[in-house]
Amino acid sequence: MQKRLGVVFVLIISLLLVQGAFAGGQQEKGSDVQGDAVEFTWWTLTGGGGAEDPRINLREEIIADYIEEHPNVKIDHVPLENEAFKQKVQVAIQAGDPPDLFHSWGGGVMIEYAEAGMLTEITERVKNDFSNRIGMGALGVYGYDGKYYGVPYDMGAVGMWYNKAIFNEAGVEIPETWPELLDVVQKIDDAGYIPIALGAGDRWPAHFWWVYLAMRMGGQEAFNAAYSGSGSFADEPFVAAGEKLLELKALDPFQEGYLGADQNQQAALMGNGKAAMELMGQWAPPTQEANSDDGEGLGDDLGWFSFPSVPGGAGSLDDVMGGGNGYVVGKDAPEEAIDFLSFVLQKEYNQRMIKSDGIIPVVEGAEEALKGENMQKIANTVANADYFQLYYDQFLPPAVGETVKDAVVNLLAEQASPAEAAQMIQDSWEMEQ
Amino acid sequence: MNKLGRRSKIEFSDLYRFIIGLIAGIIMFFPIYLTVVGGFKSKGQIFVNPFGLPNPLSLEAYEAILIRGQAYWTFLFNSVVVVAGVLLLILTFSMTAGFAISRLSFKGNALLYNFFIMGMLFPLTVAILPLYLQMKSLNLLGSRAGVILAEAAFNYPLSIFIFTGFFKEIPRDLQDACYIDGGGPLMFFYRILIPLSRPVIATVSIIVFIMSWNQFLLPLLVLSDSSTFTIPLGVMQFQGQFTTGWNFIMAFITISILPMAVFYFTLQRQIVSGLTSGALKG
Amino acid sequence: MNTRIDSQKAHIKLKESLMIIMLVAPALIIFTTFVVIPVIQAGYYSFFKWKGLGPLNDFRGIENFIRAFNHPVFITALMNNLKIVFLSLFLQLPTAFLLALLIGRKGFFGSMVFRGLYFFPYVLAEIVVGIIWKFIYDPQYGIPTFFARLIKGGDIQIGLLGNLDYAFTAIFIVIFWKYIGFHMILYIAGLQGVPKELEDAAVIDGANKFQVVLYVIIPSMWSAIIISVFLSVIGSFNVFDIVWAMGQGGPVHSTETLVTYLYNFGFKRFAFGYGSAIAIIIFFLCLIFNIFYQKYVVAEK
Repeated sequence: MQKRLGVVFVLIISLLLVQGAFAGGQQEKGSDVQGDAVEFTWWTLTGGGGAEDPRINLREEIIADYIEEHPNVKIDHVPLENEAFKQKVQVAIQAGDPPDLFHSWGGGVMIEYAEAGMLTEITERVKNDFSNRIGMGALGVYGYDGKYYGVPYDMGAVGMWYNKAIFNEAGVEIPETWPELLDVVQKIDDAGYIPIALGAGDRWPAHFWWVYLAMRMGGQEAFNAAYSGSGSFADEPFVAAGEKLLELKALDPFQEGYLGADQNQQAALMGNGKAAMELMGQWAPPTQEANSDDGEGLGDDLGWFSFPSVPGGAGSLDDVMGGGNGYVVGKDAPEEAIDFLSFVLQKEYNQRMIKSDGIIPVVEGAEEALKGENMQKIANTVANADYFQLYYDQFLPPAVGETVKDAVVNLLAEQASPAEAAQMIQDSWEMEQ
Repeated sequence: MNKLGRRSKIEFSDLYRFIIGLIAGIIMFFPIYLTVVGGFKSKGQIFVNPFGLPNPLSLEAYEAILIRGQAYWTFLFNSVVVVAGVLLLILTFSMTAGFAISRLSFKGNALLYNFFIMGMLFPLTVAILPLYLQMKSLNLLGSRAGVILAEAAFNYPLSIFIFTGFFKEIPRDLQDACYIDGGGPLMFFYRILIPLSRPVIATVSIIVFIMSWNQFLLPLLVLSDSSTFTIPLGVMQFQGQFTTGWNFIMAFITISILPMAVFYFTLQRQIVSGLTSGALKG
Repeated sequence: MNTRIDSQKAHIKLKESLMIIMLVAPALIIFTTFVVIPVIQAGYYSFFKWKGLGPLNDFRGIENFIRAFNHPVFITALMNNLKIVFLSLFLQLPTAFLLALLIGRKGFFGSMVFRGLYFFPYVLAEIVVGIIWKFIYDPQYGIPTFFARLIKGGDIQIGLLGNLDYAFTAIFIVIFWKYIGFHMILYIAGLQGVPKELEDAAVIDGANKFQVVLYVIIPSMWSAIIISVFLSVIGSFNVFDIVWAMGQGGPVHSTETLVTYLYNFGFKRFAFGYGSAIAIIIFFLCLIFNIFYQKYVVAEK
């Protein structure tokens, strides 16, 4: 008797399990059956923190608002953490199965996707709809060869964040040129602070330094020449960028163990007032706050200035490296997905993202809601840029972007000379052609 | 006299062992201690005083995760479903396969065994993209069933290896006796092998449980709706581009370890005896 | 008469074959579908230059394999894997063995508690282990810094994970910590198969402790050692999550292992054909080890 009960019990459990296990799959199938019901997937980035994340909350709210107007639509929202997102989206793309709407930084990775036919071209929509409220400069990051595949909701600049209190204590002013910066580093070091925080373990924070130096040395021309093939990434300005970076490194400006530190450790040094400067994007303040001991960050003590110019370089102080966040449309996406994208990019939501995501908004008029001098400075810098360069690791094809990051870290670790680092990048670039 | 001398010597050496064991235990446990107490600290405390006991005790992180946020409970449910499914598939079918390979003679017996065992040499990463394509063509993407099947597949080699090794050691006489009583091979399997295998079942269960509970890459790629996410995916959500804070992460890790700890400590005795009688004889 | 027996035999045989198929089929089907076929596909991709996007039409023969062995980072990764194997065999496993001798005896006070403590790291997810140890190694708050300040004083910081000379060691410590308990449990299980009489007899014959371990205990638990060495070597070749969580193979690829290399240079760079070639190399390394091991170690037993 007992045994038979046991068997029945096991059977019931297995049945429940099978049902539970297949539930996910069934839901997906069910949607095709109903007439005009439309379902699409939306993959977004989270800030970590699971269900408490304001970014997720805002997007859930946007979905709810949209569905209220369009009850036939169902949106599968998949919020993912940064690294997990990259893994997952890559596999989905390689399997020829991209989500309908998903996060993208634009540039080279997006171009790879587009060339493989994984994205829907939305050029008409961009011209007739999005360009009415978003500047063409920002939109350009999501297009190439006159075709557009997505839309940004954030576009900012990488620049120098600094701790005003430490600057005062060390008695230094904002440096406008490279030699001035070196001087400031020396004085801050003497005052007993870490001059520059750097999370070179993540590699991309380090690549910012080299790319900015290359831009200041060679300007847009050097990059265009290398990119078009009439020049090379091993040309003089790119080698010089490495040499300048080594000049800085010679002063030992970074914290101990910076080669293994990640961006959160970099942000913590700033947020806790231990380091005087960092070179980082527009998202730096919320990251510093989140990583600081008291959760408050530096507050009003945090300032921002443009990356210094380099005497003798061809670039100008107005040349800006930056980038942002946006969404691209996957292949075979329903019309409603594009319509929804347009819905997301309303002034109101874009303004609210300033707080939830820490972005520089792109929708016209949304910048009014920017609080604080720093954010406005960044917005102005982006708006006034003569030459806006998307981060190399996003702009170049993935294999080259990875190599740039490797090369810069090799340089900092004294595993490669400036010329060797530049040659590494050129070699990888040639392999992709 | 002689006897007495020997006994006291053993007691002395026991004390000696105990002290060394304790020191090693403290070192081994320290990282886990850090994690557990970390979850009870406030954000500032964890940096000012990373090693000490929480003072004052802060339940902020646990409250946020367990009470205000629903996510943990969903993740827990999903993890339980996935682990139970994998266990079911592994235990039933690797036992039947192990039984056929070890106790029934047929052509290709050894070949079949080696075919399965080869699977132990592959890291999951090797086949991740083709695996994904396979899942897609079988319409398993997004479902927990896909995760269960794939995890089971990658664990058959080890579990069949262990079961086969154990079954081989069972005396032939038992099987013959069963046949003489008129029972077929299935009767032998059901009436004699299964009851004898309890310790090995415990061993395989714990190994599979640990693997499945901790598996990250597979569920990440297969599952897309966060309502189907398992606990490791939940942990990942907690340490993102803009971290929430170490205390939250530590608290989340602590409660994600808890079910595993309970499972281990209840089965601990059987695991060791299971390994003795099972795996080691392979 | 004869034919009747034959047909009866055939009938029984058919019934038995059917039964065997029923018993083996489920595991075989699942295993083939989700492991074997994908692995064969990966083997096929390894002969192509392929971004993982679009058609598979750029056949390159064994170019991917040649490229790997000419790439210094690949060699670093391979050497790191060999180092992990070596250190595991000659440091981790002997330590695990000593721990097993220390607390493995039945009836030893606290034995179960100690086992639990030593084994516990094994049950943690590698991603979790990575997070915990990154905290422990933190240059500002971490343990190395704490001790350095205690000894030398002042405001020094120790960033092991960022140091080209120490990052590998720092990561190996984590691997050591996580897996030692597993091997210890295997040895404890093995110890219980050592006949007590044999041990006593050796003592009476005047053998010292070391000799008892060497000539009585180790030979009697040889099968435990064999399996522990096997799992350790195969596991060492497949190390991924921990290294990934601790620094993605950096700084400057100094802690790269074969699988992180596969991920960094295959997956991340959209070089899927190349990544598959690396996967195949890993598989063959394991296979070669397995063949030698079966032939010269397992068979010896």
